[in-house]
Amino acid sequence: MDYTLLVKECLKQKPSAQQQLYEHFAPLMLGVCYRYTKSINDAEDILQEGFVKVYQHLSKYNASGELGAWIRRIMVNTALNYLKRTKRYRSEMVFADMPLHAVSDDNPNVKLDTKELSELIRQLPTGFQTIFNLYAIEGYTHVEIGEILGISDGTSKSQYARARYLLIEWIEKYSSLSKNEKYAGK
Amino acid sequence: MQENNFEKQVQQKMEEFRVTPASEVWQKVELEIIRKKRNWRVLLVIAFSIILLGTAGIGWWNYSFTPATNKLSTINHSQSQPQNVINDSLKKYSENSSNTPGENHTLDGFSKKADDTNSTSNLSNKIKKQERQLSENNTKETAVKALNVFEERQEMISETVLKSNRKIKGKTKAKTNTSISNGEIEDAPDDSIFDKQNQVGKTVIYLPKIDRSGILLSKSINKREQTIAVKNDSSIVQLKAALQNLQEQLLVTTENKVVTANSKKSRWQFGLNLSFGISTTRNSYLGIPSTGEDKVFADPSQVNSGTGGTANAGVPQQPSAIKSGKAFVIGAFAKRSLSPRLSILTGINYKFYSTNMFIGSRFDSSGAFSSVASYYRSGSSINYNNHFHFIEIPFSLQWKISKQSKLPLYINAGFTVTQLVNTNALQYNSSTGYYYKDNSFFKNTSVNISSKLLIDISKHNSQRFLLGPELNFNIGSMSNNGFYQKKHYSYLGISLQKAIGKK
Repeated sequence: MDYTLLVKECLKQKPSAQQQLYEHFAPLMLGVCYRYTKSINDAEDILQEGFVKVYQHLSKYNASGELGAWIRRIMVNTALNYLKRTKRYRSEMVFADMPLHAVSDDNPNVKLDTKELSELIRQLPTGFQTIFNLYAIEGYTHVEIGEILGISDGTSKSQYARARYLLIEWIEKYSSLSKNEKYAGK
Repeated sequence: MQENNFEKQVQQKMEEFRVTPASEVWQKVELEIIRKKRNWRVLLVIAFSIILLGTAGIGWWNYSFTPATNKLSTINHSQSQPQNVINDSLKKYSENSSNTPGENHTLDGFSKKADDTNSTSNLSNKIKKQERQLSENNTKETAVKALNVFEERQEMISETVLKSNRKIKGKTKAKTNTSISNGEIEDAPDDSIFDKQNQVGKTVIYLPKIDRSGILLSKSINKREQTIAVKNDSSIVQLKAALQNLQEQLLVTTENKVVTANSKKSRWQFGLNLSFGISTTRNSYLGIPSTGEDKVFADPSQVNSGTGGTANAGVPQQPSAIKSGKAFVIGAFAKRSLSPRLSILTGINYKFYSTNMFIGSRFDSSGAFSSVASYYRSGSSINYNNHFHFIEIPFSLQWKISKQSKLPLYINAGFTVTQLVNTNALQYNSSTGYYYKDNSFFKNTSVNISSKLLIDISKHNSQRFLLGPELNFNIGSMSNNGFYQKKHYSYLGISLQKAIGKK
């Protein structure tokens, strides 16, 4: 797909081009939003808000960069804003300073499929979930995460270590379950 | 790096993770985009209207201060043009008709060309064009065009007649052979508008004299100027018939309008208006300093610095610069709907203007000004507030410029007749450098031009609560002589209009 042309058409406010852009990126971006929230409805709200921002600021998009990555950044920022302003998420986003938890040496082979893995990530407490997403998947540093969330980089590291530990434990447990047990667990 | 290995696996898995959104999400996104576009349009309309309002205000201001002689000559010129063109063109047309008796002249061009001449503002240009064309002896076409001028006036005439509907109603029904003079329908005199046969078998056409505002002046015209004798051929008969048709149409339209206007119930609406902002008194429009005005006033070396002692009598002094001050207007209005989008407003307001200036210390008058109790020296020790209290009667038209039901926009333009009730403003004597009070210099009655751009911000009921910027400036000067000679009141503020009762 020629993104440059698509962006030009979108900038001309052509509805067909806007819809094409949406249809191309929406499934991937909803996957991103889904990882940050606890419900699909919230994820769709973030997706909607994020795409409106995309069309609004498309003129600022630098054509030399990757369009998907640019839209993804907007979605992540929108998701973080959504978490901060929504009461039920905000109340869970408490990052208490805790002693630095050593990062586990465990290196499990992740045999789960994408859906299962994403569901496990979403089971993490919101604070852990957010930091894990930002560090492990988006590739932010702890300093950057600290700036984004208004916490120290030490807190971010500590929170991440605990999130990682929990997730690995769950992955190992979940992987050891037989297929029938997995369905029964659901 | 074991840690990185785990993260890489998770990252790779999550890169492939996709969830198909519900179809409603795109619909919501689409709606949101449209809504944002609409908001931009509203903002653009507001910005454009403000610019338009300002430009119109400046234009009006400039027009108001064109030297009187020029304005008069312009008006006289434009008044005389339509009549002369009509006369000349008909004269030439008739002459040409007599030279080419076999040529058949149709009047099909009437209705088509009349559409092009609807704008009165373009009238003088079109008349000039007609004159040029006449000079090229293209007499047939120009005669038709001249008649178009008459048709163009038809609409304006009908409006004028509507205003005097009472007089019309009785007389229009009684007679069809009538002429309109100064807004009234009168019985046609012997020199009827259109035709009569003279004794030597020639048709004499009397043309309606039309003034600038579209009023016929058939009685006051100079017969010699208007009378054109032409031969009674077939073309003239057609011409005559067309003109008679026009007249009949005019009378029928007028009658209908009169009946419609009378049958409509008056729709009055009442309310309160409040406006607050800043006012100033300057030589120029809305307090914008004219060339050199501020420079002179702001130059400290030009202003006497002493706060005591005597001023330098005989040495020309510069008064303090006048700064803008707080102002407000409060009052009640009555609004009548003329059409769904047009209303006329009037009412009564109390208006308070203030300005600030720096003056020296107060000095009790003992001889310098026997007519005043006290005066002030030049200086900068006291920030003096000049207060102006007015009672005003506004007259304005309010036009709804947007059809949007969510955020309707209105332009309000008109004038106010203002009576100065009281003021404590100081006059200035440039030879002595003294400030003193003397209200006899001020003009008590003045006319202001007022314009507003209002947005309906009420949530449920339309035209209930309007808010927007307002500008108001004084035509003519504040006083005939003294310190405020050539100065004008100007006001810029935010206006609120609140209707009372149900719409």
